[in-house]
Amino acid sequence: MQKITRENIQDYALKLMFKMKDEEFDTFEKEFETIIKQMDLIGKIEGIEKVEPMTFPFRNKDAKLRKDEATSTLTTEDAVKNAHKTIYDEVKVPKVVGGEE
Amino acid sequence: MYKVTIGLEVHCELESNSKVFSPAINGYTEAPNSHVAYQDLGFPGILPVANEEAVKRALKVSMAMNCTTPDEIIFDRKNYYYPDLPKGYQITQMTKPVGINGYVDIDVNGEIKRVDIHDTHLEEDTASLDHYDTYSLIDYNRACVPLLETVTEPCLHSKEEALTFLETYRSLIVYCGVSEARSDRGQMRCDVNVSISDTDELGTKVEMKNINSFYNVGRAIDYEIERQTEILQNGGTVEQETRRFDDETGETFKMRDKADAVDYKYFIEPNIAPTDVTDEMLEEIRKTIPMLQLDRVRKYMDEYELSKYDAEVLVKVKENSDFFNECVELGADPKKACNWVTGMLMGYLNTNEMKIEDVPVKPAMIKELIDLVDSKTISSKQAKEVFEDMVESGKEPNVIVKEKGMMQITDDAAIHDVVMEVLKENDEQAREYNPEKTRMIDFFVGQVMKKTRGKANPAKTMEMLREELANYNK
Repeated sequence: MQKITRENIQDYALKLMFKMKDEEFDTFEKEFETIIKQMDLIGKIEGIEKVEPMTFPFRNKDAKLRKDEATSTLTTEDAVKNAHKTIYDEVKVPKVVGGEE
Repeated sequence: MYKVTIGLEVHCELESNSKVFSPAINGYTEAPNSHVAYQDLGFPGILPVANEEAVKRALKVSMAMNCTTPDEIIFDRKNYYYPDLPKGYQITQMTKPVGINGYVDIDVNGEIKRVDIHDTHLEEDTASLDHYDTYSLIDYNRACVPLLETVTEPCLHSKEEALTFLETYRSLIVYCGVSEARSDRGQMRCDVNVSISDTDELGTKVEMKNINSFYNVGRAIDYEIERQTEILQNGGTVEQETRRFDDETGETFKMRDKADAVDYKYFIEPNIAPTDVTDEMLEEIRKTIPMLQLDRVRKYMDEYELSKYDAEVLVKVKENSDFFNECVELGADPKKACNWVTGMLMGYLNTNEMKIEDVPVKPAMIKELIDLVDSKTISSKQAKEVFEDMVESGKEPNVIVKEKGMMQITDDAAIHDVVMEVLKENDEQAREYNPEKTRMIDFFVGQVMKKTRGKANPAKTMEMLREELANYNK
């Protein structure tokens, strides 16, 4: 399995706009090493390549869609309560540069 | 000359009472962050539950576009980080979209072209961001609003085809009653892929994201064709990239190239259990799909022998077309009903900036009005007067005719008596009558109308006058 290098982590941190300290990079590098080892072990199980990826452990026949009812809307005050800064009830964030999805 | 190939990804917000994965209100409002639930803010521990109505509406559009529907509803996570997406992922559909492999027929200058639909999928919209000089503002009202994304195959070959598809798609959405599809409210947005090539192979695709009006889609396509043509003509190569359209300058600007393409690490959304799509459910939805615009135009032209122009005027607004259909179903002559609806009725609506549902006129009244003219109870001129009253008061035409004493005299004997009286009173003119002088007969018709206060049937009056005058001097 592909090794997760320090350069990979630095690249992801940059893309995700996370500012990280050197010791945090060290921790990540070590943790990924352990994870990759575990994955390699799983990969060695006989016949594993024939097992389909499973998202749900079993099919819940009772699963239903939700009725189209607006039952819970927060007050604006509650909605922005955790925001660091607001302007006219909108959440203020540092200017986002780049492309929207 | 390069062959242009265009593919479209059209996003349309769906109407519903609540959002697609949260129980907050889904509705237009000017007040920021007033339609928000915990799920929309990506709070820890939240669990999304899919909205049945949003799923049904998405399936309805899928079926209206002749797509293959899935056997179950499942969603996927599209992972990316951006401030308008507080969860860090968008719930969308990739594994089993609500529709795949469909088609929509469009009429491009009288030629029918089949536009292949790659897929249509249901997802959540993101929050809206407003950018200022030094900061950005987030309004989460739009977060988690049901959004239907329809992706065409790269099968469109001109700006005109692309715009016709978009108009047809918008009408399909509106006819299906799943959204108002108003681009002025951002309910409809479009990504456009354009490539050009002078061989049979497709050229390098350039994607332009989030174009907010059809007009701007046209401008972006024009600009991109010109830009790419210039590159190829100068011996260069077109880069595969994503570009942003600037509606102030009408130009496109590079956002990111292929190397920066985001890996979304899709996986099935584990928090939403799959639910079956049953035949009964599909059948129930199918029954609610109305006949669409292009089929109605064909029907009006083939069955009712209306002109293409009239047919297209009728179908422009579904409610007007439904109104006309009801007139015909009640037994009105299609051409006469069309004249009333596209002429007097739509004229009134346009002048007063109203919709057909805002006026008290009902299809049965139009049918009654046509019958009154057909039976010669009132003249066409009087019918217009009745219409003007009817559209304001909502009174039935028969009632207005009685109230205004408009009933025409169709009784031959009664008209004959008046005709003879008029000839006697105008003996000199009658003697001088010359059938080649049309003005003279008009004079006599006028006299009869004066005596009957316009109630004598004009055709019968004319016929009797001609006969009596011809014999007058014998």
